[in-house]
Amino acid sequence: MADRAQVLAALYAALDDVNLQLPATSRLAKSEGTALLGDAAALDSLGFLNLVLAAETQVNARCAPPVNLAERLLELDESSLPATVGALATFVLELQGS
Amino acid sequence: MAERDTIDERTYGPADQERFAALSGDRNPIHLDALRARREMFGAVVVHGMHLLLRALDAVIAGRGGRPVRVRGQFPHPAFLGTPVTTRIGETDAGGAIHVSVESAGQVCMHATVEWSDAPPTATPPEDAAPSPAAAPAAPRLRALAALADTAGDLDLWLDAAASARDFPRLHAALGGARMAEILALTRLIGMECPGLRSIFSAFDVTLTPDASPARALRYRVERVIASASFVRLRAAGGGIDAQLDAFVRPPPEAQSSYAEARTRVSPAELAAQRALVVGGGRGLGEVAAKLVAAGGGHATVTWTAGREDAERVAAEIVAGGGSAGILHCDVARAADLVPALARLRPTHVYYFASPKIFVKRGGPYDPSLYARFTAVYVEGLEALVAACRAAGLERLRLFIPSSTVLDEPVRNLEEYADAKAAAEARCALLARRGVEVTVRRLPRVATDQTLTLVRHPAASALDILTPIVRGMSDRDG
Repeated sequence: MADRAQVLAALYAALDDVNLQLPATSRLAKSEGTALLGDAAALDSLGFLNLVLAAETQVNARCAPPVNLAERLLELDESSLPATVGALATFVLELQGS
Repeated sequence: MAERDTIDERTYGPADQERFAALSGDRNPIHLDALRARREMFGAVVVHGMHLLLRALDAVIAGRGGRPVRVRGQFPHPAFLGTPVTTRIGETDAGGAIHVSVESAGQVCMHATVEWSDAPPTATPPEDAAPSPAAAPAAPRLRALAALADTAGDLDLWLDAAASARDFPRLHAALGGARMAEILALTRLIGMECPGLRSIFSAFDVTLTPDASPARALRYRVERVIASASFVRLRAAGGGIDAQLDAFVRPPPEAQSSYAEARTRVSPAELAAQRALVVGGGRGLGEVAAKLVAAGGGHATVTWTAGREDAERVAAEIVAGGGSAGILHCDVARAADLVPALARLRPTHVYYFASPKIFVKRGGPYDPSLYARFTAVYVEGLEALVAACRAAGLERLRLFIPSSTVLDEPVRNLEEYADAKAAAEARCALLARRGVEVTVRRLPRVATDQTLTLVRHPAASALDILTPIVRGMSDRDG
């Protein structure tokens, strides 16, 4: 199973992909504390969905076992979604562990 | 080339939309019909994403020759008609791929990573694509998201080669007509066939084999559906193209409560004293206010600025249900023109729901022009309408103004809207001092066309929110 550093590297690669879609002033920092949701986040709903899809692609390319991240994540209530990059990494690790 | 060189600048207009729709066969109304598009998630006509991509590739060839062999990227934000669009070419990455982006109004509307071949143009002649059919389908299919799983089919391939060579001369020469037909069919697949009517073309990964034989059809199948995200992934293949395409299925325009439902909320004569002018009554909150007034025995004049059909629909529903309603053209930017109509109608109440599109993307942290666009309606339009009512001899005027809870709980990216609503509240206080009976309520997020998003946010029912307000406006009669 992947460790946290590997998962974070995959998520940072996904942030690179998503940052290509954002204006320079709104790009997401490659940091565990970067907000993905809520008032502090730079992403709208379409941007968040694109990030989830990019994260799934990168995680499955770099970390075993593969996970259906998008399905599992998007079935959650909005209030239960991971709000930061670090929380998303934790979610991925829990998913892989399960 | 230097990093981030501008290689093309243009502003798309309706004629561009028609020409690309004819060439590609993608006649989805979100690209062509301003009235229908204003009720959809983006609120205005959207430039075909594929049009942005093909223009960008054409511009890249103009600068460096060669041809694309693999193109992958996204359409993260819509580009709108009348707004300048800039295409930039970025750095070449370690693998030799070129980054190309299209930006408009501070947002990235298209980004592509393009693997390039410097080989000479393909020998495939443009005539290899089948000619355009006499009549391409004019209406997109409406497919339910749940029905998309395992969907597969064939899409006929055809091309008006002369139009393709005219609009994308370098790309057409580099790829040949057969490949152009296949690439153009991708937007027709998404916009007209699958998902069809409610699609948002989101991402693409297209591999091109230049010298492959032309195909008669693009074969496609749905590979993945994520219902909770309204997401669809398709695989499409033709003679020399293999593509993975991502799309979202946008929600339909928000249907408001019916007149029959409004009649369950008020008694038949309790609002009989209201001759209401409902500004912006063709949809959303205004539509529900008009229905409530009429359901309570009053008369509702539903105003429209661009959407006459919406106003007619609301008035017709009320009249068919036994209520009293009419329509009136009303542009608050030209409120002085309303004086004769106001003198004739002599409204007792004005419900002021005029609003530009609220959720607007902006590139910078704060956009003064956006604030100006809001205040032109919320403040100057309101002031002008009150002046027109005075000029029409209306001595007593009871006015309802919707404000917003974003003034109590700030929401990111709505700063200009919040400031404009604050300015409107301040103006209402001034109007009250001048003898206008003004009721201002800060409303929460209400389910309307203005608040449509792919991921559903909690939103109140317009009927629940407005019933006590409309009744309260009559409590002040006497």
